[in-house]
Amino acid sequence: MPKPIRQRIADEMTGAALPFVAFCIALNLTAGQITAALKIPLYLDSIGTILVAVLVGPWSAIICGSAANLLAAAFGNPSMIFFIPVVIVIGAFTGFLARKGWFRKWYLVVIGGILQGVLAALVSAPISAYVFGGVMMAGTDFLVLYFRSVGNNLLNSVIYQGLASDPVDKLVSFLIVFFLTKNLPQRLLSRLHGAANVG
Amino acid sequence: MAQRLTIKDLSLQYSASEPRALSSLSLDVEAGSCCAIIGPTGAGKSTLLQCLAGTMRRHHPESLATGQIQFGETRFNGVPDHVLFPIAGLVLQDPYVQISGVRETVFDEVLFTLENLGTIPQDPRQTILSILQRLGIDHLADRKPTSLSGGETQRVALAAILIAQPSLLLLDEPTTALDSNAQDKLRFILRSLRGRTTVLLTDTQIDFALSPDSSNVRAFKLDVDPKTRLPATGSWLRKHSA
Amino acid sequence: MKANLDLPSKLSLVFFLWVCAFTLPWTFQVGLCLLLVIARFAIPAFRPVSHRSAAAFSKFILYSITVALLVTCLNALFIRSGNVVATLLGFSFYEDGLLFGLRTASRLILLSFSVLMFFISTPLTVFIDYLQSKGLPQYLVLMLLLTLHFLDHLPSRIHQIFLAQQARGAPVDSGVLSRTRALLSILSPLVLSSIVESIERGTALELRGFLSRPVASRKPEDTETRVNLLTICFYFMSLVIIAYSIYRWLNV
Repeated sequence: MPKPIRQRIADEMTGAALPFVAFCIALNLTAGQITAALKIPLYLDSIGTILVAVLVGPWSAIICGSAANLLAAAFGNPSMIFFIPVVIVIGAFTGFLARKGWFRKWYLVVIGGILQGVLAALVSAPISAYVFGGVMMAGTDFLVLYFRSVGNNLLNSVIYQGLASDPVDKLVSFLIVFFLTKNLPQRLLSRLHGAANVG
Repeated sequence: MAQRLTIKDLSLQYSASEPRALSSLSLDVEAGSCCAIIGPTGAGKSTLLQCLAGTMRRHHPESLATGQIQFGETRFNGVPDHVLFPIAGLVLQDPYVQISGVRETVFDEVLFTLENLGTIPQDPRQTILSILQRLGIDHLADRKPTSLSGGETQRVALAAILIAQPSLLLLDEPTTALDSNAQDKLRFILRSLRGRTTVLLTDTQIDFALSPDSSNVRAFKLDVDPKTRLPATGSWLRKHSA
Repeated sequence: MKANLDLPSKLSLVFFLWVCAFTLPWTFQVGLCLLLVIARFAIPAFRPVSHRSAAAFSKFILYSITVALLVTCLNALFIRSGNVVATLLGFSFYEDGLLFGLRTASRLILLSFSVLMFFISTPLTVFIDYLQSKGLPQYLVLMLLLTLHFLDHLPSRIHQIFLAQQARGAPVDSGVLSRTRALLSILSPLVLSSIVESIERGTALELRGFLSRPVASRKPEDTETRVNLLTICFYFMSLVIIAYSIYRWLNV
C-alpha cells in the first residue's frame, strides 16, 4: 500500500534535511537581495526550492516553496500567496527530474530548466489572468499589455508573457543549482537523502 | 541513576574502504565518575562520543563496528543503532548549533527538550529553574538564547541535556571556547554531578583534566600512531604525570 | 459565544474579502479597501504588530495607488475597444480598457490588502502556534520557526561573504557574465556552510530527542473551542454572496 503523503513528507524531513529546508526557504526570500546587490536582472526566488528538490526530495521542495510564498506574503508581498500552486508544481517537477538523474549532466539540466520554465508559465498563467487580470506589478506587465494590444485575449497574452520570461529565469536557476551541487562532498550529500541525484 | 560504562575492544571504520577511526579501545568508567578522554585531532575522541550517543549508525549506516559497549545492564554489540537520548546525552563542541533557534527564552529552550520527549512535568518552571540554578544561569532564564556569550550558551546547551536526567553525560571538547573563569565554573558543575551522572568528556589539552582543581576527573589518553597517523589504543594518565 | 476579532475570525474576514473580490462590482471593492485602511487605524485588532509591519502597510498604500493608476491608464490605452473616453497628448483612452483596468486594479488591491491586513496585525509566531493547534505537524512548525531564525541571520552572512569575495577580487562591478560568476562565488560558500550547519543542527535536534514524531503540546490551554460570532458572520455573509452570484450567473 502506498505511504500517506504526510508520512512521505515526514520521512524526507529527518535529521539534517529539516534545518536545510528551513535555510532554503530563507534563501528563496533573500536571493533577490544578492542579485540586486550584484545588479543581475533575475529574481531567483525559487533557487532554494530547486536546491531542496535536488538534494532532499520532491515533497520537501513542495513544502519549501509553499512556506516561502506564505512567508513572502507575510513580509509585505501578499500576492505571492495565490501562486502557491505554481511553486508546488516547480518543487514536484524538479524533484521528479532530479530522481530521474537529470541533474547529473549539464545538457539535461538545460533541457530541464527550459521545460520547467514552460510548465511554470502555463500553471501561473490562469492565476495571473483570472485572479489578477494579468497584472503582477512587475515590468513584465508591459509584455502582457503588448500582447493584448495586438489582438490576443487575456489568458493567451499572459501565457506568451510567461513563455518569454520564465524559461530564462528557471534555466539560470537550474544551472546555478547544478554548479552548486556538482562539487559537494558525498559525505555531506549523503546526510540529505539526495546524494544519488547529483555527481 | 548513574551507571557503569564499559567499552571492550571497540573498533570502528566509517566504511569498509576507510581506515579505522577507533582501534581496539577498551575503557571502564565507574558509575557516577568523570573521565576525560585526551588526545590530538584524529585520535577518535568525537567518534567515540558519537558511538556512545547512538548517532554513529544513524548518520553513517555504512560504518562497521566490532567490540562491545555496555552501559549498566544494557549491552551493545558494536555500537547502538539508535540515538540513546535521554539515557545518554551529548553536548556538542559548538554550543551555538545546539541552541534550537526556535525558542525566545532560555527557559523555553530548556523546556523544548521536555516537549520533544513528551514528558512535561506538572510544574515545569520549578524543575527548569532548579537546573538553571545548579548551572549558575538562572538569571538568564528570560534572555534570548541566541544573544548569550560562548560560555553562557554552553551552559544553556548543557541545561537542555541535563533536564532529561541522562545517566551518561558526554561532553565534546567542552573547554575549547572557555576562558579560565568559565573553566572553573565547568569544574564546579562536574563536581556537582559526581555520584549522580557518569560523565565522559573529551579534550585536546591535558591541562583541564589534570589540574589539581579537577581532582574528581580521571584522564584517559588516546594516541595517534606517529607512523601510520591512525588511532592507537589508549591508556590511563596518572595525575602526577602532569 | 464570544464576538471579538481573534485569529480565526480574521481568517474568516480574509475569506469573506476574497469572495467579495471575485463577485462584487469594482465600486464595492474600492469601498472595502477604504474601510480596511480606516480599520487599520481605528480597530485595535488590526494595528500593526511591529514598526516593520506598519512600514510595510504604508508602503503598500502608496504602491497600490500607483499601481491602480498605472493599470487603469495602461489598459485604457492598450485595449482599444468601446468608446474613446478621453484623448491626451494624442493618446486615446478607451472605455472597455478603462473598465477592465478599474476592475483588475480594485480586485488586485482588495486581495492583497486582505492578506496584508491579516499578516501585519498577527505576529507570525502566533499564526504558527495557531497552525499547530489545527494539526500542523511539530516538525513543520519547527521548520517555520527555524526559517525565521535563518531570516534574521542570513542577510549578515550574505554581506560577510560578499565583502570577503570583493576583498579577494571577485568581479562584483563588471559585466553581467562576470557578475553571474560572482553570484556563484557567493552562493557556493553560503550553500556549503548551510549544509554543514544543517547537519550539525539536525544532529543537535536528534540529541535533544527531536525525531519528527508526535510530542507533548507546549500550550495545551491554546485549544480554544468556543465559537466566535464574528467568524460565523463572515462565513455566512460569504455564503450568501456566493449563492447570490451563482443565482445571477444562472439567470443571465
